Amino acid sequence: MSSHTTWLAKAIPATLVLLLALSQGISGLTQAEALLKWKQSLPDQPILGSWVINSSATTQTPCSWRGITCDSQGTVTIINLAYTGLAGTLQNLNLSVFPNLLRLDLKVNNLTGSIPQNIGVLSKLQFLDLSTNYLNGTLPLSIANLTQVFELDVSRNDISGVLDPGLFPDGSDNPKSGLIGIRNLLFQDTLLGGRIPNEIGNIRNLTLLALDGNNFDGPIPPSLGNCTHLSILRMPQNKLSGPIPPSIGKLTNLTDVRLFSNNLNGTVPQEFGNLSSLIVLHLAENNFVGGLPPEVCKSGKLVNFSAAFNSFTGPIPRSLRDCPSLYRVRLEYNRLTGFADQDFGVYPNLTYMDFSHNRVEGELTANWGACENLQYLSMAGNGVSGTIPSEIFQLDQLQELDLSSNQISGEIPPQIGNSSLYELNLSGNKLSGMVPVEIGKLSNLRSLDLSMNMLLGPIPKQIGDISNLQNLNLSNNNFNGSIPYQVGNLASLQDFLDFSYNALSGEIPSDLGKLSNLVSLNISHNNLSGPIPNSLSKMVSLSAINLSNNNLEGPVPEGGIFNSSHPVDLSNNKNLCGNIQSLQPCNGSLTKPDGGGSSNKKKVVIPIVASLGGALIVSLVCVGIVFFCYKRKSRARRQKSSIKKLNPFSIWYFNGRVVYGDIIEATNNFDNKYCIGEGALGKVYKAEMKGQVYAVKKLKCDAENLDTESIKAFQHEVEAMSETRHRNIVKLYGFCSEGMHTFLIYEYMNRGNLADMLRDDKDALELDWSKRVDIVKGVASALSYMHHDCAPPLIHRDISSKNILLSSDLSAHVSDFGTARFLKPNSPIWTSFAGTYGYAAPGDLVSLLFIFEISFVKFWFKLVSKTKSKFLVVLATD
Amino acid sequence: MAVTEKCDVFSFGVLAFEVLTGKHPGDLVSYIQTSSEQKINFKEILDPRLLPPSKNNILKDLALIANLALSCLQTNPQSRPTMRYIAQFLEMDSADI
Repeated sequence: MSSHTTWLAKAIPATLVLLLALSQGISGLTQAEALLKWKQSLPDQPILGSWVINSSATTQTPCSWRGITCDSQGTVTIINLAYTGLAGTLQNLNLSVFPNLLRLDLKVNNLTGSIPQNIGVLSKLQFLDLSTNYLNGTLPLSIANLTQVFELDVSRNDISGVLDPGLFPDGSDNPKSGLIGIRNLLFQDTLLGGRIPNEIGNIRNLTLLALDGNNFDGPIPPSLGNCTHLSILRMPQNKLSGPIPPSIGKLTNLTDVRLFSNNLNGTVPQEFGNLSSLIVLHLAENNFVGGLPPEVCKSGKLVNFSAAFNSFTGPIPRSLRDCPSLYRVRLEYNRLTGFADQDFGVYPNLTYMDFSHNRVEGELTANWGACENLQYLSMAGNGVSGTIPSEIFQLDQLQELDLSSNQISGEIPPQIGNSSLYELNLSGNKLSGMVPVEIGKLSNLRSLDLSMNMLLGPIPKQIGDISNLQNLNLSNNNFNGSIPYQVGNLASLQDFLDFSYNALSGEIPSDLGKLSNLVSLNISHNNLSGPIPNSLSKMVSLSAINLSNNNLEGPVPEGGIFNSSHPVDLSNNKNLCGNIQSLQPCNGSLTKPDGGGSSNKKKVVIPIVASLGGALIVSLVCVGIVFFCYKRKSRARRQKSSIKKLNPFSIWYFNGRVVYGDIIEATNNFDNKYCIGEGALGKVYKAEMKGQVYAVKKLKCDAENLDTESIKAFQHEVEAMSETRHRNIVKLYGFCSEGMHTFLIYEYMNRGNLADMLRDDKDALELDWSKRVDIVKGVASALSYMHHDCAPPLIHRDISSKNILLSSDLSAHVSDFGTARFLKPNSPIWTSFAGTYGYAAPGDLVSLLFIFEISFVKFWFKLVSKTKSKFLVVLATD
Repeated sequence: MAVTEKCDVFSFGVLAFEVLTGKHPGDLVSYIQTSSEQKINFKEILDPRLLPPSKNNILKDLALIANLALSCLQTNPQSRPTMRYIAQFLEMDSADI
């Protein structure tokens, strides 16, 4: 009957409508009944406990029920059940009996189902808030009848579909339908998408438009420039493209503009700078080019400004200097130019400032110390010079300071001890002098990176007082003296401790063994001497250790990391011995390792290499040297006899026990059924030996001659490369040569290569987004290591998904270095195309013609036994 | 011709797109090489076999990877970023705006 009434109301002239409305006001029963009918359709919930028929009363009105408000005639005007935990759907709420409803507020509940199609019958409605529920379906077109609504919010629901142009007024002077009266329109975090209709600009009084976090694409409607009352414009995290319409720059009432995380491009309207009310401007994570608005802080009220991760060029806006209202500023990762000492002022409210990775020069000034509320300051990756002002450490709110990769010089001021920093990164500068002992007072510090400076003197023992430190990197400085035993007190150390590339001497303090949470320890490239303390084998969390390039001697401790499959680099020490990887076993008296190898090793082949790097080198050098050898071939022959007197290689053992016979046996004499792949230098076989699985690459090799110089070059390269270790580079255990065969023994990667994984629909699903992100990060990390942390730099030349192997946890390992080569300033230019077609850079393809060349250049190693424990590598070309 | 590390950077860009799209991105690469706009909507190229990423931080990571990969494919090797730049960028936590 009630729907019948509404039908009449629509069809009959206005006078009758009035009469009907009155009659409904009198008969509140209809409204009470409608509400009760809805209540009955909902799951039982105490919040509607007051919604009952009072049998003793003569008239039944819902006006005293919870959430219901009536006018003086007893007609319901407000339904407000916000924040009540209401569950169920709106399908059984007969909206048509509430013609006088002004407000419907159901926000923050558990409503499901769709928005009623006939919601448009609430023609007097002024306020509709359904936000933060589980409503789905599309927006009913009848919303266009809600011409009186000034606020509409359906944010945070699962509403899908598009914004129909019919929801908005047409462009005429007296539009009949559409959200004519709307002032605040909020569709945040829904599943709405498609274009934003240009008709939205016909809403004359629009002051707040919030479309955050949807799937809207296409351009920002230029018609928004007609909404002269617009104050808040939020469209971040959509897929909007194209430039910002210049018309928007003229909306002088704008206070809050958020456009971050879209695909917007072009230049930002310079008029943005003239907006005299601007408080928030977010342009980050788009593809903007050109300059920032020069007068961005003309309002003097700018609080929050982000332009990070675009391609902005030009100067840092002058207007930012005199902008004391600033609270949070993000400009990182652009190509902005400017001067750190001229373009920034004093900001009493500033908490966050990041202009890292731009092209800012100038000096660090004490001004930063006057920004009393600063919590985060990063200017990494610029050209900032000068010294660190002590004032910066007076900032008692400052938690993170990143000045890395600049040109900052001078000493670290002792006032550093006054600060309450959590993270401090000063790496990659020109800091000199000693580290002040006050550093020990940084009791909050979690991460300290002073690497790649020119710091000298002893490491202060007070560093052991930084009790919360989780990462410590002092590498690549000139620190000398011994490692203070107090470092062992840093019980929170977790990710890494890196003292490599310094001039530290003395013995390794056994206290380091107390660092039971430490994962990676690197004290390589120092002058440390004496034995490796037994305590290091007790570090239960340790999964990588590098003690190489020191003067360590004596037996390597048994157990722990030293007998694990984790990366252990002990190369280039004085006289270490033990039953592991590259070392000579200690004999009875633990002295000279020389006499050790012997009669029981008849068939043992010689594992060269041991370290990953070594491995690489072998194959690398193979390639690298071919050229070299080729030229020297004839001379090599003449010098053949002299070669045999050399013993340029330390002998690496492959766990000291793998023998040629084991490999032959494990692969059934290289039966094809064990073949798991083919690389540039030969086939790869899966071999299970002594319970462990390995990948054995059999090189296509035979023997020839080599001259002394080549061997020396090879030796140097092997030495250099023996440091190459990286969690994302496949590990080489050893090198082995005997009789007809020469092979490299690698870590076995049981998930095969990335190309196969991606090709298989089932496997591809296993590679979810987060694993894929990790794979890309892993490969990037490995390549960064090869290019920038190896000396000389190492170029792979054949990065492709076939050469990325996946371990059981699906982490990426770069493999197949058969075509890699070292990059040396004076090396002959290598012309052969080495890559995989489709991955090679265009320039490389020019040399595709040369791909055949490499197949003519055959080369390999052969280990020639001179005595039972001494071998030579012979490399040759044919 | 000289071999520089920028060749690896290019290959890395191709590889990164392959991981995002799930297949060898030959078409995409040639499109990028010939297109003057030098931009793509990364959400449209994502491997259709997987559900679209739901977490914001993954979405950010993927967008970053797409952008970095794009810069790796520039024709002029000198314009490509270094692997150190890329690796550091990828390791950075993307703080809230």
